[in-house]
Amino acid sequence: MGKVVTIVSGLPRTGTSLMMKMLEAGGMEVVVDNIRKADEDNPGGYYEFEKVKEIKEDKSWLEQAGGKVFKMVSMLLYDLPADFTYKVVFMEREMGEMLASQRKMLERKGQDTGAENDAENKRLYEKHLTEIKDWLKGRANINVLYINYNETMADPHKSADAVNGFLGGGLDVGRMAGVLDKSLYRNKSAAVSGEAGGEELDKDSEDEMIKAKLSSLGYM
Amino acid sequence: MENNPTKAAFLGLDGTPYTLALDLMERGVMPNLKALLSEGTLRRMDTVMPEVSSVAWTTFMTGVNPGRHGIFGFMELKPGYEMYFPNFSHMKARTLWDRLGESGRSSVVINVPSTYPARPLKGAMTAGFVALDLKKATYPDSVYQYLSGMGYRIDVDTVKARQNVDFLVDDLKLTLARRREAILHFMDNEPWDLFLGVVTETDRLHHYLWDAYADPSHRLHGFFFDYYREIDSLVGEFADRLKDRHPGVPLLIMSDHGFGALEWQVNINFWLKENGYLKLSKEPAQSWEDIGPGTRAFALDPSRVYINLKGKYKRGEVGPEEYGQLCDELARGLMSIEVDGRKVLKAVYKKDEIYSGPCMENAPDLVLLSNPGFDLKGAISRDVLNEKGFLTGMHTQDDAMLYIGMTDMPDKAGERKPSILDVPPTLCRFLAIDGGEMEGTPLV
Repeated sequence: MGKVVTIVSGLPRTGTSLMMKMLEAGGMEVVVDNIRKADEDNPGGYYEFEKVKEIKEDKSWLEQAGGKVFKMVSMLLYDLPADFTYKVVFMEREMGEMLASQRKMLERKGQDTGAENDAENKRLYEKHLTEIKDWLKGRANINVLYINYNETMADPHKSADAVNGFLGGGLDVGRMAGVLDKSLYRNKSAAVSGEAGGEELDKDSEDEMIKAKLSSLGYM
Repeated sequence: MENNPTKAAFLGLDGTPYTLALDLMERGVMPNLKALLSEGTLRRMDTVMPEVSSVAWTTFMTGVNPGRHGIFGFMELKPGYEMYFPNFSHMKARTLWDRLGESGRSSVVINVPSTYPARPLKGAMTAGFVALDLKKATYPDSVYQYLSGMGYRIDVDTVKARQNVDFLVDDLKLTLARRREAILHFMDNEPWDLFLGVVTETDRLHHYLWDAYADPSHRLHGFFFDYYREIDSLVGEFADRLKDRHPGVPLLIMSDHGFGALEWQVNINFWLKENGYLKLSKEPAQSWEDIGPGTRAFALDPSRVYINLKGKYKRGEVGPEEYGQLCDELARGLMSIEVDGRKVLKAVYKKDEIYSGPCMENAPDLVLLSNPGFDLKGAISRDVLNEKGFLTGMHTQDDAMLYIGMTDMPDKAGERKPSILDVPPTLCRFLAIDGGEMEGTPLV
């Protein structure tokens, strides 16, 4: 297979759906099945593809994913077939925030948040991150770009630029950043056509943007 | 000039102090504002406490104190200590334009902070800080279409500005230019009985470049004054268009708070922790959710102290029987804080001394008023009492400005120092509408 397969990965609630949305806005075709519908935790949608979970058993769809992007939680990266070439945009977020976001999502769904297990969850997640990063380093067929979620909130253009460069250029960086930077409309044609502003940010992302703005004025 | 008693025009200059306005007029930087003094009066004005834009502009737009409108700051804590950011949908009182709309008359509301997300009104609006999405900040859709087409900017990108002050200079110019264009466009092209347009770039300029104003050797000293020449140009253009196209309509110009030099940031949560009132479940704390058992009080930006009450908060510690005594004890302790041999606080107010109304349950239990130069901070994880930050200007409570072009209406304020609460009933007087439960006194 000639084309590179692009993957957005990371732990849950680290901004993987947001990055998928940015890549879609930038012009990449996303591989999704829309089974899981948008909700308050991800008003713009989850950008998931169920077949990713069975990639070890069935990789037949991967041929068609060349030049496109799909989302895959970091635990599943070990199952990636070795006979493809991948570029992985790996989202990272401060562990405490990530755990808090997971708890909020479970609360909204009326599920047990398991808050009392936070310390153990943190330990397990940190162990996983260390192991997966080591594993990725040793894979010649996998290139990785690590993107910080909070930095993306604070400076969407910088992250968009970095991702575009990593993926070989050709993405519309302005529209990628515009997913977050809705106070600005640099892409006039998109604004006039009504395309811009159609995506919704999830609550966490909105709160992060507000925090970044308030911090820049000396609050928080 | 005959007064038109049913319309009013208002220009807000966020954070422009009265004393700065006087200085700039004296230096010849604001000749248009100076010229307006022959047609009205300029006064020094007190703003609300805490002296922050979300509270001040909400007080202005409703005419009631925070105990009635429910906005006490940019952020609040839920009972489990999770932070949330109250917005326009949390605000509990009627706005000036709601009242006017009830009588079938129109308002244009441009960039008033704390009006996001925009709500339908009789007229047109675009919300101000902390608006995130232009589509959700505007009503009706024609406002969005116009603003998105002309490259309107809701705010200066202060997140980027923090990294690069030269970027800030360019962004201040661009944002003001677009703001001016939008304000003048809607003034001329949208029917209104009440026009409210606010410039927030002044606040950003002061936060980052107050030292440029104060220090003649600062490389941006000239830029500061040039920026205010642009502000004055807008004041002049706005006033001229008002006279030409809406003769007899009074002009008000107001700031929501003043500004002064920031010498020290003072971390109130650090003091509370050091004195045993605040216990953190981990250090450094990652968020206010790390407020631990045994906590009796915590602080939020700016200047607010909350008692960790049983029944109100998940790990509430203080019962009603201890409340009064704890407030007194905290007030005494906080008033004793000194930095560089100077008292940090001018006063500590209990909530029922400064607020009243149905939102009192959410009011901070103590509100602190600092002495000049001390910027009170509510960060949860600071490990020093006082420090220097990246900002050089801080808000002040007693140095806001208010200009009323009264035409032939008598000045009723006399020697009394006006409060921001007096401005909305003054507008109601000009608009010939009943201010209802508004708490201030008309100044005309």
